Amino acid sequence: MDALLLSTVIAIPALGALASWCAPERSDLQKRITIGIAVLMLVLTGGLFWAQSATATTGFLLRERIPLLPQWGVAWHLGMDRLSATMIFLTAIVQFAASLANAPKVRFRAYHAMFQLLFVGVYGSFLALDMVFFYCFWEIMLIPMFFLVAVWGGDDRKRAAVKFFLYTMAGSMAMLLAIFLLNVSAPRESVPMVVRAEEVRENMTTGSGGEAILYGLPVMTGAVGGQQSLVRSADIAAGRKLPLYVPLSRSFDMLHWKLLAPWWAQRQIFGIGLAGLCLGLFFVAFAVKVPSVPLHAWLPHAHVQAPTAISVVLAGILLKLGVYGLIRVAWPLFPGAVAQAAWLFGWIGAISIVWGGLAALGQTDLKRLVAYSSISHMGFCLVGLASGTAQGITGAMFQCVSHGLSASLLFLLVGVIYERAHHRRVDGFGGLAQVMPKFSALFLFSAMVGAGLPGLAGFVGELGVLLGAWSADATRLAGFVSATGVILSAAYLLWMVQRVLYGPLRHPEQSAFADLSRTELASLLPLAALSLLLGVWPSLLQDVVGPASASLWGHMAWLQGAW
Amino acid sequence: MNEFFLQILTAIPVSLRGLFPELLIATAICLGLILEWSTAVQDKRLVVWFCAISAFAGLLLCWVVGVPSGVVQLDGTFVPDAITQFIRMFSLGGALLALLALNGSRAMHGRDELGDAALLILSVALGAMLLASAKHLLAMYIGLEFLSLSSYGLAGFRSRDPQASEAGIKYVLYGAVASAVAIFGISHLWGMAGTFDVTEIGNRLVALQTPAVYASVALVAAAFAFKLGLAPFHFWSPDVYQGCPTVAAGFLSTVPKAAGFAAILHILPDLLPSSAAGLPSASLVNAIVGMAVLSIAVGSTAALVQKDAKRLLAFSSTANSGIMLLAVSTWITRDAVAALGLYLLAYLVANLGAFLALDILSGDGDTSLANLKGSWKRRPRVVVALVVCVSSLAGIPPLAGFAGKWALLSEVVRTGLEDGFGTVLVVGVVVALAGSVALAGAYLRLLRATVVDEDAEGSVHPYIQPAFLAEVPLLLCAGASIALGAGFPLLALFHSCLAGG
Amino acid sequence: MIEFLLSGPDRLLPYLAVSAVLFSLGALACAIRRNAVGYLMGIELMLNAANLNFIAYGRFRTSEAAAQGQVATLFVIALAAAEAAVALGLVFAVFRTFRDVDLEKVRTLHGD
Repeated sequence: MDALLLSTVIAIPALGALASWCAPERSDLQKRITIGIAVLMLVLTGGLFWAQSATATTGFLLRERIPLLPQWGVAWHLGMDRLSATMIFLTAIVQFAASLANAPKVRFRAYHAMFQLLFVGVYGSFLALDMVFFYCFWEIMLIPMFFLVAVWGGDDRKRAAVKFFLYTMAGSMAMLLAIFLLNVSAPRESVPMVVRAEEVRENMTTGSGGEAILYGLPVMTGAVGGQQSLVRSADIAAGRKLPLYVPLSRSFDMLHWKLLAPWWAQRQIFGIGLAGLCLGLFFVAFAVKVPSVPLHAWLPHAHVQAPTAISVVLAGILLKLGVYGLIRVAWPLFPGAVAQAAWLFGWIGAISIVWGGLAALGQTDLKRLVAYSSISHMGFCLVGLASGTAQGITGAMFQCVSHGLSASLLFLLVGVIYERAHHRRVDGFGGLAQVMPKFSALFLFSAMVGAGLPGLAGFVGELGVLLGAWSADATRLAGFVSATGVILSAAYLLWMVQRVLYGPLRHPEQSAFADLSRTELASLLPLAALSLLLGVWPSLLQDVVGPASASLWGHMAWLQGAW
Repeated sequence: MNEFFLQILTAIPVSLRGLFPELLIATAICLGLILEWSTAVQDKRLVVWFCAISAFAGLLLCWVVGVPSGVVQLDGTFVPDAITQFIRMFSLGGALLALLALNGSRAMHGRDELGDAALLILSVALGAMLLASAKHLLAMYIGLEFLSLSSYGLAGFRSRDPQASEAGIKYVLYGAVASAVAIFGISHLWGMAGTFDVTEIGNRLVALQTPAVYASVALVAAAFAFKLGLAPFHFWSPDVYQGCPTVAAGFLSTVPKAAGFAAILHILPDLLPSSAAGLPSASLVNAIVGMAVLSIAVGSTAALVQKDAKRLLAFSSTANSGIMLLAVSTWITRDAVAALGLYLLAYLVANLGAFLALDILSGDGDTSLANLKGSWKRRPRVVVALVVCVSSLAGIPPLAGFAGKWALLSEVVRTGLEDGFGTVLVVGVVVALAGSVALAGAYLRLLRATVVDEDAEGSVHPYIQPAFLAEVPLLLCAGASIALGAGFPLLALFHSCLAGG
Repeated sequence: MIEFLLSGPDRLLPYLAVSAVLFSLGALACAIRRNAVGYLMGIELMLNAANLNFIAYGRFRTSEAAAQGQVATLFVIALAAAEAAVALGLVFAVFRTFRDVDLEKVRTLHGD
């Protein structure tokens, strides 16, 4: 029953894209298909998330592996653990909200087909455990995004779409080079690599003879160079202290590469350390998506020019892909290099926070303001990751979810008001609280989530990040600077709210604006409710992602200590 | 019936048996000439169909004959092997697609040059097959000339079109210089070695490593660089592709390139010196990678500023030649050749598909980006196929171009790191990746024009009756681009064929 | 062995020198000439320089090699004729449309 369940998660949007393409042009059927697919994904991923949160394991709850090209080590390898389950559930929530927000006039089948195709790439990236397929799904998102922004976007949409495409592709090329280098540098023949006992305990399966198997590899013990014998899983579960090895050779499997981390730390390419070089390349690729300064220039344009639903998807999910990539790929593979460069990553995060905040303060376009606030909030994730503490990493993961919710809320609300007024100038509004009470309530609520008011989701993530950053030596000063970002975000969000909602009704013709319709409410309320729920009951999410970040921290600490 | 055929087959001398496909195509060209003379203007499509059927028959014959196991033909002049077999099927497949498109092409409809075009396409295919099986310098020159002369004709056969005539004259004048340079180099090589056979020349001359040998080999290499469109000898391709009819340009940008690379693969290991370990000198590898890097850089940056779609694709084909040359610079390991084969296949379907789509979209032959605006509304299916083909060229997964690029570049990186070539190959790969981004920017301009941009106000596009026949090869190319995305198993197939299967 | 051919009373070098000069003159003609037919004359010069090479090398070698050289020369002559035919056909086509064979004037396609 759970075989190929993860493949189904990816297949459903693909089939939805096909169905949208085959549906007649300009009919409501496409919109219904899109919303139906979104609901289906919500149910599916919700079930998976619930199943994941109910288990105590920190390993992969579901894994499917179909070897495709054994001689190169390429396999259709999908896996869901705590982090991926959280991410795909968030994706489904944002997909649902965005599907409802698709403007009624967009009834082209190409739009809906591209919309679904985008999600194929997103779900695939979150679930893929094979580097080839991870890269494939990463790149699949490029063409649909390009067309979605370039055809249905705002006035300057074409340049924005091209900028997005070229920036992301340049980052992907860096990732491709890193993948090539790592694949060639992997050991040609099978080499026994030391593995952490906790890692084996969390992730092992038991073979037919009772022996322990980790990620498809037999776990062995014995002296290096001497006799190696298989280990029984019962022994490992009982906690016997044994040196544990697995034989590793060339493949594209992400999990095998994680186990090869000690090997990477020692290799050099033409005198440059392989770990540092590949970490830099991966960081460039993922930093474009996060986005962190200085690779953020595509974001304001793309966010502003994209149609509302696409902005929601972009801010809610695509930015999280960068952080996910760092957590899944870059950090576990090169812990030593990460520790050495933690100060740099922390400062890059801090600069992103402050830069984004200061830029947002100066914006007069509502959408640009929210776009820069996205840069600022995602900087927190980077600071949390750079700190290298379990608390910081948990905070980063939490911040991903909370920013996903708050950014989606803000973009949806800005979309609502753009629909009414056909402009987004902050000074073109005033006193809307008198005209649209429900809208104002939600607008203020979303601003508070973004500002990090305690009791709402934004606070938990930022607190975790700042505490984690403070407790690590490398990122202490950067964490201190990042805390000012909280003040900045409160500043520009409150300013925005005050200008738009409160004060006298500056433009009397705006008194005719209709309040939120049922569809708009249906897309906004779940997000708001979740933000509130996670704010007052953070352990709902913390208990899910906490063990994952503890496991990552354990892996990194073990490697930094041993090597 | 079987005995009749067997009698014919046994009557043909042994040495010609490996050349069956070439003989078939040559016969088809001669018969086609007679058919062309005897048909009236409105019946020219018969000639095209005849050529298409012969191309298909040739393809089947190649399949049946199988990989010729290196049996020496005609006193060692033509030595077909696995690479030859690949090029044969490649050329005939490309010719078949181009001929089908020719039949449905609006730009060629009702013109009396249709028959000429078909025969010339078949001649170019024949020249490609001959060039790819030569291990004898004179035979190689004959194949090269056959290919070139047919290509000149194919560029300029539209005799009343000023653009086509200009393309043809430029192609022939520059190409003739290249051929003359080649034969000059060949004459010196023969003179110094005393034989035309490439292996023998390698044994006798290359060990000497005198400047005269290097200079002669460099002359021959320059001629090949011209044919392949490598910088700094690439200047002819934008003008020629822009001027000649679109279907012909598509065919000319793919098949001669493959044949040229096949010839290089045949003669390079013998004509250029290797050390005892089988590795080349560092300066030679630097030179080859330098030329590849130059082609990629020039092609991708120039493609960004073009205003005509065909010129854009011409510069992109220069850049692609540069990437293919990187495979050669690995000193032709078997994996690199297999990867090059996959890359060439992906390039064939994607590039030819893009040109065929442009042919349908442009209607009257004007392929400037301004004229292509708003094509999405007029011919959505064709534009979707164009998007697929161009995305494949850009290397977006899960399409064919991605598979080819991945296979080729990973093999080059592997060779660079493991086989002691130094940093130069990795630098080449870095440039190739950067060039891919620039090329993607250029392709985005093309996609912008066809899909995103709207028609200028008041521009008139005459309603063009959709020609289903012209769309068939285009849809085949797009489908192949998608199917070959899973083409990694082909690498294993090529590898085993090269190993002597 | 090549040194033997290059030294001695009956030397190869003058022939090679002449062919090199012919080649250079042909290349010069291609570079300078604006008339298409003049350009083609340059190409013929280059091809015949190669022919001279073939004959010259063959003269100073065994008779079998000489035969190879002469056969190669015949090949090159035939191919040069074919090339000239194609080229002149295209020159004729150009003349029909442009009314001129001046290569400077034939420039509708320039990159924009």
